[in-house]
Amino acid sequence: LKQTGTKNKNKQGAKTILTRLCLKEEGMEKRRKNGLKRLIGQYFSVCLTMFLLSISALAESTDPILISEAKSVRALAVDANKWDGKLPTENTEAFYPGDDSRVVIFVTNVNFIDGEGADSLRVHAEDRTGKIYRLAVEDVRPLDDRYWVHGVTVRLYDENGLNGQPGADGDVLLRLTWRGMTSNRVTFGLGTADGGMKGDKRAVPTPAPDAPPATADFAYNTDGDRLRFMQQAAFGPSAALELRLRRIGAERWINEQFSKQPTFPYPNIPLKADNPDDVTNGCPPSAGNPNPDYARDLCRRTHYSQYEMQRWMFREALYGEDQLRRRVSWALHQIWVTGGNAFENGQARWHLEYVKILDRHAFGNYRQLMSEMTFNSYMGNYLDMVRSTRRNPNENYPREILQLFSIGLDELNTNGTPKLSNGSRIPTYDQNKIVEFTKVFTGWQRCESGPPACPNDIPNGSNYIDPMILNVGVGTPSVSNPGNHDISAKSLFNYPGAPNPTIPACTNCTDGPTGAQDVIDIRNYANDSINKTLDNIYNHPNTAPFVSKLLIQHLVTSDPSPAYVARVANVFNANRTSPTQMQAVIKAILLDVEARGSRKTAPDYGKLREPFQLATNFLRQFKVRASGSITVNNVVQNPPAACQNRSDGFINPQTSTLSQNVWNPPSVFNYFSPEYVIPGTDIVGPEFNIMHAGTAFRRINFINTMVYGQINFDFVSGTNNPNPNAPCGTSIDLTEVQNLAAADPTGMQMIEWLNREMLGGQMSAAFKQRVRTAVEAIPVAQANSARDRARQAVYLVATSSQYQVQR
Amino acid sequence: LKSGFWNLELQKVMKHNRREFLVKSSCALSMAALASQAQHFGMMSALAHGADKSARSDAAAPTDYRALVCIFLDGGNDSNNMIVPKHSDANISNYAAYTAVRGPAGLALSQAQLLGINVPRLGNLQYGLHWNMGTMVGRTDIPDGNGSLGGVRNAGIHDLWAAGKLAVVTNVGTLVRPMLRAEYQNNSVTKPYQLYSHSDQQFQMQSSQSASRSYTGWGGRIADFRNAPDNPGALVPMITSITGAQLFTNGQSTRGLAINDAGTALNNIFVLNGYGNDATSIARRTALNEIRALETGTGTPEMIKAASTITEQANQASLAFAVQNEVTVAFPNTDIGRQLKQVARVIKKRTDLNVKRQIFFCRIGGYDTHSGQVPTVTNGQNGLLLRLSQAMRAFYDEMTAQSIQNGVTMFTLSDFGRTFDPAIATDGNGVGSDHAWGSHMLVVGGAVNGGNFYGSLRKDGTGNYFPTLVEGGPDDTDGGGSPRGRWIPTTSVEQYASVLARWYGVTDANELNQVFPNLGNFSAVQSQLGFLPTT
Repeated sequence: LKQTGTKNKNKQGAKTILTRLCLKEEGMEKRRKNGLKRLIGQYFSVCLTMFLLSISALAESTDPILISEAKSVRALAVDANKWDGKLPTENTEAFYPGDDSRVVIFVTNVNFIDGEGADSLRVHAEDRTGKIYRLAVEDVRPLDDRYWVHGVTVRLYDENGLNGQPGADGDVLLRLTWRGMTSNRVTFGLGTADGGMKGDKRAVPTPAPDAPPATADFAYNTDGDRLRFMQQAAFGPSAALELRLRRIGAERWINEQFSKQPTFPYPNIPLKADNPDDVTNGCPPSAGNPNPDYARDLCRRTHYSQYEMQRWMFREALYGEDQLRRRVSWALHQIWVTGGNAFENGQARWHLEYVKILDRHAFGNYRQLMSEMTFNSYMGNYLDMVRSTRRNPNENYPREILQLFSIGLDELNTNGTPKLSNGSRIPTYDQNKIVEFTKVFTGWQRCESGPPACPNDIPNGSNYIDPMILNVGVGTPSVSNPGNHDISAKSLFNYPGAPNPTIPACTNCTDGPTGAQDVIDIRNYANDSINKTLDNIYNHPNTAPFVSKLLIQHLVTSDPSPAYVARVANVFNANRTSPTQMQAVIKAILLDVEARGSRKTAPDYGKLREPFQLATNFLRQFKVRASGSITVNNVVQNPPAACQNRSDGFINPQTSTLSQNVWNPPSVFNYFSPEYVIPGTDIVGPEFNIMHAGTAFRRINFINTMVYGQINFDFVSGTNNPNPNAPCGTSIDLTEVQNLAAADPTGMQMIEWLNREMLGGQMSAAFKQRVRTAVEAIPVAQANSARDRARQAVYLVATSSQYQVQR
Repeated sequence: LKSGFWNLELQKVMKHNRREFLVKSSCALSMAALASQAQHFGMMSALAHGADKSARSDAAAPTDYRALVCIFLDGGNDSNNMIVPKHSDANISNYAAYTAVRGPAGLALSQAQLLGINVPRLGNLQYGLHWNMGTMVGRTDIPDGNGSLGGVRNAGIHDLWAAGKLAVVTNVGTLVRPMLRAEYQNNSVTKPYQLYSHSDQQFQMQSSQSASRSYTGWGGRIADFRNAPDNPGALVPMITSITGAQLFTNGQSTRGLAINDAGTALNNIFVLNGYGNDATSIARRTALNEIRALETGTGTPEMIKAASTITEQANQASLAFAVQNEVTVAFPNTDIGRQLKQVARVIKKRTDLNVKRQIFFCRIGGYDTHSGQVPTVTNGQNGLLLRLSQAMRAFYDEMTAQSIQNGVTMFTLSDFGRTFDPAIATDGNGVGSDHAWGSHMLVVGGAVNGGNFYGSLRKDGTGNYFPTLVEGGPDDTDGGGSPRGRWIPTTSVEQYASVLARWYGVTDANELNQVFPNLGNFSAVQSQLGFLPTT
């Protein structure tokens, strides 16, 4: 696809915008007054790297515009076979749907960056029954006679067929989306142009412009972009984060984050015996067996539940300086899934080691993550690798590392769309391949020979801390009994350029002069085999698009355009051997044109806030702190001073009721499926998997708890309740909103503030009016009116569906 | 009424919009009248149920009420210990064959204790239900206070066999197409995707599709087609889950309603906290409803609209369930007892809810008995089957009390069966069994042609409608030196489900093929699956 005609203009437009953006990001009034020269200097110092990272495409001027006839909102369109590369002169007629029926429609006000083509666009058709079809977009090119208008070749066929196929039933409305922005909708006849579908309210004819649309004069609302960024790259806005972003901009902030470590130390939870009653290394009853036995109960809560891990995670998200690492690590947890409560008497220490691995590689290299996770003994337990032997091979881990952690089930193009053969998807592997891969992962077991080989091993406790080691299982391996590891040949993936498509059988594993030599040979062979196998998986063409798409889904948007996936996948591949590959990938995701921009208008853009995000985003927004005072036996009590007025992070009971029990996804398929399609739509919406009528009201009730109440701290008196679950409690601070409420009897100052700070400025006039009416129902003269008005408004904005969706 | 807010709505004169009208109506009108109002406004199908995939609007809505109640036995039920041969007939696997394998490790049930059921299809040979699935009268080994009983003693499901209300569908499981042992072993017939994996097998039992992952459940697909014609003007979706959003309940356009078990009264399930009778509360609630109306309206981005639509579903349900309907039969206060009790409450509200066809989904865990399967009379699988039987019986009796027993059919699903070979536990927890494949299903209801086994013969026409209880035998997947008895299903979940669906009302061949796209793969198999009438 040639874009030469538009390129220069794009860059100029981009520069204008970028200057504006960076100025605003600088946020310093005095600099604004300086001359042009100074401006350009800043532009280069602050934003040079942003620019180099294709941010040029920030030149989003307005939404794309689909071209209609001159005097109606009917699409201008032409049969693709008859198109001469120019704007058609005749008016449109009807077209017949079908998988080989192609038409060209026309769009303006889109400026593509290099490599951005048909897969950056989506075209949807809504029929009069409300069904929406996603039509396959096959090509886009500028017109011969006006470069500012593009012809888009569309197949009149739903590419995923979730709602069936459109019929020749008359008019439909076409919409085009690009980078999370939507066009106007134009009428389009399927079978017949029957006028049976009214256009959108206020729709006007959009004939092709005779000159390039002006791009210079529009306001770039950085507030909306910054707010979205704080939700994508962090756990929502906080005053400090916002200030930092204003000061140094997104890219420098990201760079800064790469060197941050957890703000709160990992919980100190030594390994315990498998049996909690174990006298030496468990949590046995205290001497004298008091009832209740607080010491034993505390020990069990700490070691044999996820309590400390959950509180730590919430505190990190609420207060941690390492927001980006936490956010990416949390995303990786939902790809490399384990469940902390998967085993009876499961220990927090087991899971902690797994979390550390996620943290360690969040800004590292994906291949290294694959390696360390494969040998992690807790993962080995979760997916049965610790019990997989040559005689009793277990396919669980080999299956999931392929299906969920690296390449997925179907062969993919670099942009993440499935490759097709005669219209069908091509499986990446079959059962025979699973059997082959399984052989590689046999014989590994927990490291339990005691220190120093297994430094964390303790008596009576399963060592799920140290990496697994190969347990050959026989002292003198022989050809007839080589032990637990399968030393026969393996046939792995054989894509073009595949490293190690086969691993030959071990030739020296059973021929050593002594058994010991053979054991060492087998270990070396097994280790080498796993490394070769992980290389074979990692370099599969699927890995980059598969992993990139999952990360985009977790951080930015549920249903990214293939072009977005491709841009990130290319960065993933270009940094394949880099120890900081993930840093490049994360930057590519967060600074992409589809992630950035003042506002996103496409119907399918964004993602439902998962419960953890909903809770942390909302709490951070309003200066989360310890609970306020409570009254116990008519005495007012405050949280202990040790709390320093901070939340204790005991918030998992709240998110659990919203179907997200932190660290405890119900299965390796995560809290929700990345492929979940919202029933009744064609939109992929993973988080909708756990939103249903029950959790919908509970989301609202969570907001109610925080706005009108708090999560009380557990009051401790004397020897009663010495191990409170909530030593500090959690509450929010609405002072800022309250001050705005007090300042303006109409409530509009406050509403505009909430609009900007919570909804990125996207609140409709009607929405504002509803909130205002509810606010004004509280008379100014009434006691506590500012407080109550603030609560009223915050509750209504936070419970809106608009706030439920991050976009 | 529970919420003071609703009462107040009646008293205060406020700006009218459609939702407020509904709110007031719910107090002033009967629920049936409300339903007709809602229908008049054309709201229900759009709001409570998403866009309908309506098929045929020409057929009139049914006049009778029917419901399917699925009980999913989570973890893989060892049905080898639920249905056991009691006879000693030498021509078919008998009790000796059973105890030969399961006896030495202590996994076999005692022959004398098995609750006899005679099977006409197998020449009236006697089989036995697990000894905890009968009456609790005289069972001194299970005292009143035992948690498994949940405070209730009833007859269990055993005597429903003789009454012809309990059928057993034998050796059901996931299948892409029929398969013989040799075909399993030489890989010549496609196996179900991820056989023996809990999550995948659960998905497949719920989707009825075994070749790969599927994103719709067979309950959801039935509702995609049947909701509009069968339940016009309904106040709730066709499907209700008592156990969260589940694959079974999702269709292309169907989104099941998820409700709590009977521990929460119907009118307490969908309650927004924090509303009082004060003007501030009323203004807030009005704005909440109006903002949601804005957000379900045209022009709202789909992603936001979807969240709003789900919230609106909760709102509709809060109106539909504004009044509790208590049942008259005592249900055991156990997990499955509370789930089925809640189903019974909803069914009792069927007229108010304006529904003619409903599907319910319950799920009960603990069946993954690798060890500790038979430790005591009321623990392990012994306890699970006791609680299952007691709860199913209470439900059946309640349906009878509601005079609707002929319209309600209860059936089981499970991930898979378990190895016939006992699993010798090394962890000190006692004997159990491991993941396997085909398992027996229970079907209970007034319409059931009970008192018999149903199922298919093997693909080649051999077999006895019951797996041959021999390790390495003709029904075992396993070969090699130590086969463990994993039965290759002779009836696919899709066949089993299709019988339930036909009775429910999916009679149109085109609909049936769309709900069960793989059914054609089994047409060649001789089938004796008439456990329900077809109309």
